Amino acid sequence: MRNILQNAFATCLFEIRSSFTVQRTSVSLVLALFPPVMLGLLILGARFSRNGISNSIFQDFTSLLTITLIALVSLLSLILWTTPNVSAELEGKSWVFIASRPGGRLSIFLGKYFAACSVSFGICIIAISLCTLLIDSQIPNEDAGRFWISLCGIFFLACLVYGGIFSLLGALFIKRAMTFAVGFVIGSDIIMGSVPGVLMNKFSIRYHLQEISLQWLGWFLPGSSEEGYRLVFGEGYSVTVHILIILGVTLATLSLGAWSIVNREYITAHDV
Amino acid sequence: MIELKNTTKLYNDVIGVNDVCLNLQAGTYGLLGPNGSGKTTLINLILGQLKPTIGSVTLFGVNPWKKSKLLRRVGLCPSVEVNYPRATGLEWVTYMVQLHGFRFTEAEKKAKEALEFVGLTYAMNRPMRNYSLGMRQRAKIGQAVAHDPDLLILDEPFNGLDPIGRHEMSDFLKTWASQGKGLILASHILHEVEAINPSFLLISGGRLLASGSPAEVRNILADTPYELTIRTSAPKQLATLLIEHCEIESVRFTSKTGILFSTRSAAQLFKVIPKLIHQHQISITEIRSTDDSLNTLFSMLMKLHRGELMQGGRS
Repeated sequence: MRNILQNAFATCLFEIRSSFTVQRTSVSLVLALFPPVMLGLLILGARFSRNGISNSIFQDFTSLLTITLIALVSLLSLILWTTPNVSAELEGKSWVFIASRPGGRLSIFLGKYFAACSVSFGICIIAISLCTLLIDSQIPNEDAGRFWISLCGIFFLACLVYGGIFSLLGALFIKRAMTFAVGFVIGSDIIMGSVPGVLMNKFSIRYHLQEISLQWLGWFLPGSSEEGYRLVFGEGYSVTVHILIILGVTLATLSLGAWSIVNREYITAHDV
Repeated sequence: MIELKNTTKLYNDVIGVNDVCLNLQAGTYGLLGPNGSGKTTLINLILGQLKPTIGSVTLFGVNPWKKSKLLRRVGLCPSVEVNYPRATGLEWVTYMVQLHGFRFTEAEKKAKEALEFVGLTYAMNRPMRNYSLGMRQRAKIGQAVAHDPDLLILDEPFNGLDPIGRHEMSDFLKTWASQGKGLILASHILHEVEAINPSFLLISGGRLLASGSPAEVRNILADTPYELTIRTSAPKQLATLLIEHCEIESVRFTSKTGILFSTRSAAQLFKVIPKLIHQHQISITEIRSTDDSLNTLFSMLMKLHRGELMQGGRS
C-alpha cells in the first residue's frame, strides 16, 4: 500500500511538472479567472439596476452565482485532467513504459487522479478567493471568512468525488471518455438531481453537495424558501452522513477504476 | 526463465501469436522476425501486458498477468518513442525508477548511474525535446537498466540509430550479455542481432518458425538464395566471368549497366568479385544486396513450415 501511494505521488508530481505547458497553464488560468470575471460583470450590471434589491437578496444571488460558476469550471478542469488518464498514455505511446512497471497501472490511475484533484482544487481556491473578495468589496460581510472556508470544503469534496467518477470513466472508456463524463454530469446531476422526488435525486452527487452547502452556508437560493424546498426534495441528512456518502462514492469509483485498469488489456495498433 | 505453453493470442479475428511453445533459460536471445510478425505481442505476453487467449505464459516461474510484482526483475526498452518533451532525461529516468518502488533519492542515484552507463550524463539535465534520436534511445535503455533487472528486453533498439550509435549499442549489449544476465533482443535486421551472438528465435506470422544457435541458423541461411545487383561498365563480361568462377543460380540484366545475380554461395561471390575486376580492369559503380536475407529466410521457413519445401531448401 505504501508503495502504491508512493508511486502515485511520484506520478502526480511528474504529471504536474511535465504538464504545465504554456497552453495548459493558460487554460487553468482562464478557468480560475472565469468565475470572478463573470461575477464582476454581473455585479457591474446589477449596480445600475440595483434599486430596490435588498442586500440579503444580492448576497444570496452572488453566492449562488459563485457556486454555479466555480462548479462549472471545476467540473471542466476535472474532465480535462482525468478522463484522458489512459487514452493520453496510449496515444502518447508512454503507456508501455509505465505498464511494464510493478504497480505502474495503479500509479498512473491514482497519480493522475491526485494531479487532477490538486490542479482543479487549486483553480477552485483561486476562483473562490477572488469571488469572495469581490462580493465582500460590494457588501462587506463579517461572514466572508466562513463563506470562503465553507466553499473550499465543498469544492474539495466535489473535486474528490467527481475526480473519482471521471477517472473511472477514463479507465472504462478509452475512446470518448470526455463525452461520457459530460453525459454523466447532464444525466445524473442536472436531470436526476433536479427530479423532485425523495429518493431519485439522492443518487446524484449534486444533491449531497447541495445539502452540505445549505447546512454550511445557510439558505442561499434566492426566490425560494427552505420550507418549499424541503417539501419538494425532502429532508436532508446530517453533514457527516453526506460527507461519508461522498467519500464512499469516491472510494468506490476509485476502487472500481483501479480494478479495471489493472485487469484490462489495453491493446494499441502498435501491438497488433 | 520464460516458458510459453501452446500460447496463442488473438486480437478479435487477427492472430498475434499462434501456438507458440518456448522454454528459455537465462541467456541471450535474438527474437527475429519481419515487421508485424508478432514480436511485440510475444514480448507483451511475456511481460503480462496481454493475457494469452489459449495456453499459458510464465516468467521466472510465475504467471506475469497475475503477478505484476515480478516486473521489478525485468527491464523493458520498447520500440516506441519517448514522449515527454518537457521532462529532462534525468527526471524521466528517475520517475521510471521510482515506479519500481524506489524512494526519490535512491531512484535519482540509480538514474544517474544508468545514464552514465549509457553515456548520457552530459545531457541528462536537458529537456528531452532537445535530444537526438540516438540520445532518446539511450535514455530509453537507461530507464530499462537503471533498477538492475535480471532480464532485459529490447524491442528494435537499433531503430533510427546512426552507424556510430549502432556500434555503441552493440558494444553495450555485448557488455550486458557478458554479465550473464538475461537478454532478449527483438529486431527485424539479422546482422544487428548477430553481432551480439545470441541464440535465435525466428518468428513470422505469429508462429515460432525456428530457434537455435547462430551456427544452426547459418546452416539454414546457407541454403537461402542470395540476390545481388551490380552496376558495371561491362555487364556481359562480368556476368560471363562470374558464371565461370562462382556457383551462380541465375543472371538477369536489369538495365544497360545493371546485372542481378542469384547465388547460394554469397561468400564465394564476394571473394571472387574483387579479384576479377582487378584482373580484367572492370569498373563497378554499385554493389547492392537486393533482398533482405532475413525476409528470404523467413519465406523459406514459412514454406518449410507449410510443407511446400523439403528440408535443405529445395522445392
